[in-house]
Amino acid sequence: MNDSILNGRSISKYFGGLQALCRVDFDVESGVIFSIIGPNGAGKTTLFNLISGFDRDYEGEVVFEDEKITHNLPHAIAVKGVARTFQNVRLFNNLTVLENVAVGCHGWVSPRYARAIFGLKASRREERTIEAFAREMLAFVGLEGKDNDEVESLALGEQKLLEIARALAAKPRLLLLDEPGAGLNDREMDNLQEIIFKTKEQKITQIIVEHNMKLIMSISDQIMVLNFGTKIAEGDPQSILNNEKVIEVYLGKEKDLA
Amino acid sequence: MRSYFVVLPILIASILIFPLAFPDSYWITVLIYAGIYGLIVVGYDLLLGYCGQISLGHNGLFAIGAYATAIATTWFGWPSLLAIAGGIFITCLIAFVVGIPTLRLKGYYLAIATMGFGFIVEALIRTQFLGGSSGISGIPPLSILGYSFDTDRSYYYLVWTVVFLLVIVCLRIGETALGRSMKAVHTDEEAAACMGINVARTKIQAFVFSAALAALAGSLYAHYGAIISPNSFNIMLSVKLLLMLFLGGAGSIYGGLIGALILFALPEFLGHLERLELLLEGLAFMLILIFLPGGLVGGLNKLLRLK
Repeated sequence: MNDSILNGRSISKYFGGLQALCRVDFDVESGVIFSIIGPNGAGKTTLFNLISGFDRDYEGEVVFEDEKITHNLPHAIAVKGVARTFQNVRLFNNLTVLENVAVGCHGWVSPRYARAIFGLKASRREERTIEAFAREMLAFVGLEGKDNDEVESLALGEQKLLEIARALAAKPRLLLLDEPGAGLNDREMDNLQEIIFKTKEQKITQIIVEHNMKLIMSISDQIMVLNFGTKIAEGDPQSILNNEKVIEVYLGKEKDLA
Repeated sequence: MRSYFVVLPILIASILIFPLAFPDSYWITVLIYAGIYGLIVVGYDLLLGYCGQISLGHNGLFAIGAYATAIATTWFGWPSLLAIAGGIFITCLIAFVVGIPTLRLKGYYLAIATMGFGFIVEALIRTQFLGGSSGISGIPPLSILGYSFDTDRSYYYLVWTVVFLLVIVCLRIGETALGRSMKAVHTDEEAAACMGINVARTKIQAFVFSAALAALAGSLYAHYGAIISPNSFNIMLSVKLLLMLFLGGAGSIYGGLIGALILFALPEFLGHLERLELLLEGLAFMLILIFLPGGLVGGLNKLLRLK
């Protein structure tokens, strides 16, 4: 037993001969905002794909809430309480905004044929529950009133928020955000930061992969730095900023940014 | 507003009064067959229009339902309802077993694999054991609790009642979480899985459900015709299902019915130009996909600004 919600044990991943992750260990404490940074190709998204079960071809162990989820299928991991967003927005374009969020609820309602066919009342109740919760999540990210819009009619910033709402609709205890800030303008960035803090207040642990140093430094409790698949540093924002290895990798860039 | 609130009542009313306006039994027969094929298309729409999984093997599922019913009634003397239930059960079982490996495939691989299944079934029903090319004859009329549906008109109402009941069932499935799950799987399987949707199960369920409807249609087909032969169950049937679905509008559930009605009525209007049938169907196929990818229902929705 421990206070951590997610543990990675000696995780290695190869793409052919290329080592994308090399024996990475990490512990994410429950309730924190844990950020993963590093140059392009450092293995950040790869790590997300392993945790969420997207990619099951790796070595090592992933433990979520003291339960091994190594090599589990993505839907099984999602049902256990891990939700994620995608670097390149992956919404369901054939569904409306509200329906997209509703899909997020499907893990905990587990829809059944018998209920849909015979249980008129039960399935109405189920639909109402889903709809109410989906609306709540839309409001949470500030997209209320866009329920029936087409996904493609939303601006990129709104689509990114919609993905967060969809992930939150799954009632996760761990949320993986893959570059939530990419492509956002300053105003949207402030809004995103607020949503991340609000999510933290809900006691949802967040792991965030992000390039925007300003955002990372102001929201993170703990930061892990990856470079070419190897963990080179871990600590609170201040210690990361003063870490020589990190400065070397970033060529002193974050000193200016901070 | 949903377009089926407008179209379905009109469709139901038209079907209801049609035999009164056209008592000619020939037309009734045409519409009975349209209803039977429409029933397959309705289930097929959940699989293809909603879930995005193509099957070119539904002729095989239809055949299994028809042959199971024919064998149960003629060889073993089972009552109709039991024979139909048996047909549906065995078809679902086979669909389940076939679906597990094949539904892992995507796109045209899935199309070709399911087509292979259709060929296997066709080959099996051509064996002498199952009556060879002359098939099975002497299937008794459908009777439920002593009432025999032995007139065209009674059978017409029976078939269309079943069709509309199942349209409502499929609309319910499509409009609730199950339908959304299927649509999510259709667009992005991986993203759907990350939302907690069991993608493999969603596909299998849709396949088995559509198989159940195909089997039911097969049973109704066998009981109506009293004789079934392998020629009614070849790959062309699956191709026609596709045409009916896309002509009517995939993803609308009831659109396939409109497609089936048009496709069955069309040859009757052609008269001695019957040879043009294939040509016109082919042309319709191409024009619809190019100009009206949402089918007639999709076009209507755009016109009336409905959902």
